[in-house]
Amino acid sequence: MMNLLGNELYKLFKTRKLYVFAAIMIIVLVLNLFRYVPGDPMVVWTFKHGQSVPLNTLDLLTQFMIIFIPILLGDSVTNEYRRGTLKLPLLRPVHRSELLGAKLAAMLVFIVIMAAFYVAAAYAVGTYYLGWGDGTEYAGRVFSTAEGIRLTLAAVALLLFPYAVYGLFVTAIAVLAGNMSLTIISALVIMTIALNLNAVEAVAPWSLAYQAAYYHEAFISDPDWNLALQRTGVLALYAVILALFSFRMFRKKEILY
Amino acid sequence: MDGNQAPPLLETRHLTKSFRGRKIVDDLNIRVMKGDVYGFLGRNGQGKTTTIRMMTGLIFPDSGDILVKGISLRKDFKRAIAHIGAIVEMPAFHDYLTGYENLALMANLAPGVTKSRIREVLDIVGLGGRARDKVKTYSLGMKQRLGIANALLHEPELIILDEPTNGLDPQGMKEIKELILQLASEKDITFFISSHLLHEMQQLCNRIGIIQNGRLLMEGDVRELTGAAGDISLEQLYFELTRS
Repeated sequence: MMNLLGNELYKLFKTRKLYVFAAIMIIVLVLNLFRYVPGDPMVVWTFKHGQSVPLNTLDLLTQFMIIFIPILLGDSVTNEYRRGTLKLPLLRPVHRSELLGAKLAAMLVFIVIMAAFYVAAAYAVGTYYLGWGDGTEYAGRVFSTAEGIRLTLAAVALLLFPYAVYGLFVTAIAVLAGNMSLTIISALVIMTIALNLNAVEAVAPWSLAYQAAYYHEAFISDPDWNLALQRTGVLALYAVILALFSFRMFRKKEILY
Repeated sequence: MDGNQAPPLLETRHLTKSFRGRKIVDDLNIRVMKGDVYGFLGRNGQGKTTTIRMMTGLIFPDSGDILVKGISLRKDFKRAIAHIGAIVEMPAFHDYLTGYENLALMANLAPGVTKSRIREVLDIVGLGGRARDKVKTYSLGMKQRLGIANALLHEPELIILDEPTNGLDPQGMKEIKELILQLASEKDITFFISSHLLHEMQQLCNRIGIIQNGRLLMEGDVRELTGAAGDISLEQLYFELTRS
C-alpha cells in the first residue's frame, strides 16, 4: 500500500497540475486584493489587515477545492482508465482496493498541500497589499495575532474533512465515468447546483457544498457543539456510503482500455 | 493427468464471458505448458483480447476459472498474477515520465526488483540508451519493447502478449520476434501470444490454439499439425478449419 501511495505521489509531483493550481491560487488572491478597499459597501469582506485574509477568505479555498479535486481524480482514476495506464499496477500483485486506497490517500495529501499553500499565499498576498496589522478580525471580533493564527489553522484543518468527503464523492463519479471530462463536468454541475441550494434551510444541513463552505464555523470562535456533532455525523455518513460505493464499483469495474 | 506431471503453467477451464447478451468467449479450455511459445490465433473480434483480459484479471469471467501453476486467479489473485508478465492491447505508459521512471514505478510493486534489474531489462530489449527519455518521444516499436521490459521486470515464468506486432513496421516486427525467441530459449520464459498473423505465428510458436466465435476450434503442436517438413502451412490449416 505504501509503495502504491509512493507511486501516486511521484506522479502527482511529476505532472504540472500541482504547480499550475498553486499559481492559480496566487493569481486569484492578487486579483481579489490588489484593489480591495476595507469598508467598500460593494464587497462582502470587511477585514482591514493581511493577517485576517486567510481566515476570512476560506470560501475561496473551498471554491478552489471544488474545481481542483475533480481535475485531480478525473486524471488519476478516469483518465488513467481511458489511457490504459490504470492496468499497469493491476497486472502486478496488487488488489484493486489497495490501488484505489492509494489514490484516495494521494488525494488527501494533495488537499493538505493545497490548503497549506493557500494559507501561506493568503498571508503573503494579504500582508503585501494590506500590511500585517495588530490583530485578526473574524465574525465581528478582533483576536490577538497568535489566537488568529491558531483559529486560521484550526478552521483549515477542520475543512479538510468536508474536502476529503467531496473527494470521495468525486471518486464515486470517476469510477463510473468513461472519460475525464464527464467526471469533472458532473462533479462541478452537481456542486454548483448544491451551492445554489445552500440558502434553502431544509436542504443546507444535508448538502456537501454547504458543509464544504461552513463546516468549520460550528467549531471555531463561538463553538456550537450540537451543530458540530450534527455536521460531523452527516459528513461521516456520506464518507462511509461513498467509500463503500466507490470501492465496490472499482472492484467490479471491467478494465477495457 | 499423470500424478507426477507438473500442472500446466496456464490453464483455462470452461471460461465463458458475455457482453450485452452476446457470448464473446464460450466454454474455453486452453492448456499452456512450461516452455511453450503458444500462439492464440483467430481473426479480429473472435475473443482473443477478452480471453487475455480475463487471464490477467482485468475483466471477470461469467463462469469458469483460470489457473496459473495450478493457482486459481479468482481465488488467489496476488499469488497467481505474480507468475505472469503481460502486455494487454497496446502498451500504455505515463508519457510524461521516462522509460526508466515508468519501470521504477512498476518495480515498486514487485518485491525484490532492484534498480540494476530495471537497467538489465532495458538493456535486454535494447532501450538502455533511451531509458532517460520521456515515453512521449518513443516510437510505437519502442513502446512495445518497453512493454516487454515491464513484463520481464519481476522475472515471471509466463509472459502474455496481445498482438505484440500490431502497428509495427517490418523491422519492428522482426525485432520483436527475435526478442521473443531469444527470451524463450535463453531465459526459459513461456509465452502466450495472441495474433491474427498466421505466418508470423508459424515461425514463432511450438503450439497453437485457434479460436473462432469464442470457442476453441483446435489446440496442438505446430509441427504435428503442419507436418515436420512444413507440408501444410498454418494459413492453409487455419482456413480449412474455420471454413468448416
